[in-house]
Amino acid sequence: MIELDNVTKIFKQKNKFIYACDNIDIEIGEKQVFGIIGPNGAGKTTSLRLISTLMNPSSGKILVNGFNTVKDKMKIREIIGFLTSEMRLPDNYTPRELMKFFGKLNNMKNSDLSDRIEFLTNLLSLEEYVDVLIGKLSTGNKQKTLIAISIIHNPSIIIFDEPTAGLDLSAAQSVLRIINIMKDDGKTIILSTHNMTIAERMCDRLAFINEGKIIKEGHIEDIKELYGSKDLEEIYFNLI
Amino acid sequence: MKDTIIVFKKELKGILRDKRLLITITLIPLLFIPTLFYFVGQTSSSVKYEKITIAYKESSGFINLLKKNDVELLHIDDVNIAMKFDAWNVFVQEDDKQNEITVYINTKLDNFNVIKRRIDYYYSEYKNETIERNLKALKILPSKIYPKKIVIKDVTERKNRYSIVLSFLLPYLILIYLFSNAMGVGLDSIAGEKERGTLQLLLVNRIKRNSILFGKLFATMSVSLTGTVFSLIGIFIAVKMNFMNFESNINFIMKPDDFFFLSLLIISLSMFIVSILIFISTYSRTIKEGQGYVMPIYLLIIILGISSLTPGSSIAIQYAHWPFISSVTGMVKLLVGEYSLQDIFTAMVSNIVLASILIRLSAYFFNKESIIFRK
Repeated sequence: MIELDNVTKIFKQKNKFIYACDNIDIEIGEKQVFGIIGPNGAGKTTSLRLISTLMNPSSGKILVNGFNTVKDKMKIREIIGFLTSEMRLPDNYTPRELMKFFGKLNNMKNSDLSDRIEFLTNLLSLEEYVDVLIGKLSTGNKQKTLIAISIIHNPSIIIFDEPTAGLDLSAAQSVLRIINIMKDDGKTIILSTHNMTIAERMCDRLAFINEGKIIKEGHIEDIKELYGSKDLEEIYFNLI
Repeated sequence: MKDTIIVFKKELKGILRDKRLLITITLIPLLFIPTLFYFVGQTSSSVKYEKITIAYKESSGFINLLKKNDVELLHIDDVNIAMKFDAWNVFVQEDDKQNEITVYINTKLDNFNVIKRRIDYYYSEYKNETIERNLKALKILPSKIYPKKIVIKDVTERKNRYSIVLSFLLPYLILIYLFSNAMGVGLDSIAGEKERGTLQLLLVNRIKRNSILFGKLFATMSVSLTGTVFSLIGIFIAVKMNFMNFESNINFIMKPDDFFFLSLLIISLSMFIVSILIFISTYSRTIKEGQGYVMPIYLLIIILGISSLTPGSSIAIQYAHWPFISSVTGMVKLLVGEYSLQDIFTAMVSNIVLASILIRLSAYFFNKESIIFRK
């Protein structure tokens, strides 16, 4: 369970205060896929950074499985996996080496780590590329490697910030297939996107965010019913 | 410690895969430094002693003395023609009535200063000879007139003068090598990760910030020290083969104790230098921004390092306990073989303490959102 209680995040830029998150109140239940939808600069990435302990809220509190993101950072880091579209892997390592590195950082035993690498390699269809230098991989395989690294320690909560950004259709489909597998595996997934099709296909619940504020939050079907439309994109454009 | 080792191993693996970097820190110093010494040696030996040609009309005491020296004398009958003629460097005309020697010289000549110095030298020889001869004629012993001569004798037993020069030059080079070899890797270690966006991936894992920093610090130190060792091997080869064409071979011997303390001092200095780079790298958004901060520091280090080249200079004495200067002067003393353990330990401890402070500050930066997510 993830609870955001009146969370505000303010940045100071050139004597101006910018509310990246403005009194956000959300509860994300276990084993859910929760979508955060909004335009660029709406506050999606900041919200995810707050949940993943990379940033502290200016006010309010966030609890992840009962742990406070400010006081219990290490405990939260053990149970979350985090992936953003901004990440680019270094060219001179292989996917296996990076998986080993992050696995060891997460205190995984050698035998468990080998099994996990084997499992993720199969799951992500990386068998042919697991020992190839990252610099020689396609964008899709690089993204799969990033996913593998972020979930190497088998976290119960996975945070994906625009996981399909910059990918071609086939690579994006592979990534979505993996998210579905993780959903079936009972993981709690927070997915930030501005692609309505992906949001509709993947998420159980959604939050529309704009200018740091949650403008609507709920189950997809409830939102559609409330606004009397079957088109999520139409609702989105009416809301923002 | 376990996490530090994990980060260190990963960083080192990445560095070892970078063939260009490996060649830069190993092969290039091994080939470049001896080649550089060879060409400098060849150039200096090719600058031969140039005989000067002195023209004169009438032979005199000064001209007679010049005959004993290694100069070419050219007798000229017509002074007017001689003045237009450029087969000589200097034209000497003596006037007994005026008791004057006029030396005509073209100040536009490239070697004007060399010629002038040599004429001054010949004249002082001529002056002394003339005075001594006149004193003898007056039956006065020259020793009654001249003050005592100064005779300078070299008391250095272990090392000849070239070894001493090298003892002052090496610490400066070590300082430069330690910094320049670490610059690229040090800046890339964190600013590079920020640029690639992978720092977030690392920070969101359960690893202490200090472990990340120390892992990267030790990996960068490995590059810095390896590059420096290979550069020193390059110098060693050049010196052993006498590529500089020194008149005598360099006798450079170090006691095992001196070598041990020198190694410790170099390691601690490398730690301090790399921690500066890590600190800058942590603060910078990009490698390019980091380079902007590093260059003034690099120039400052070069200036401070120069203090080792001028032993006894006011900088070396007044600021002997300052960072860098204490290490450089410590290295000089170790190489010369005249050091106090207290000075060496002070330099080492100050390097380690300053490095620890910088790492703590870098760890503080890691927790500052305004720095990690600075745009």
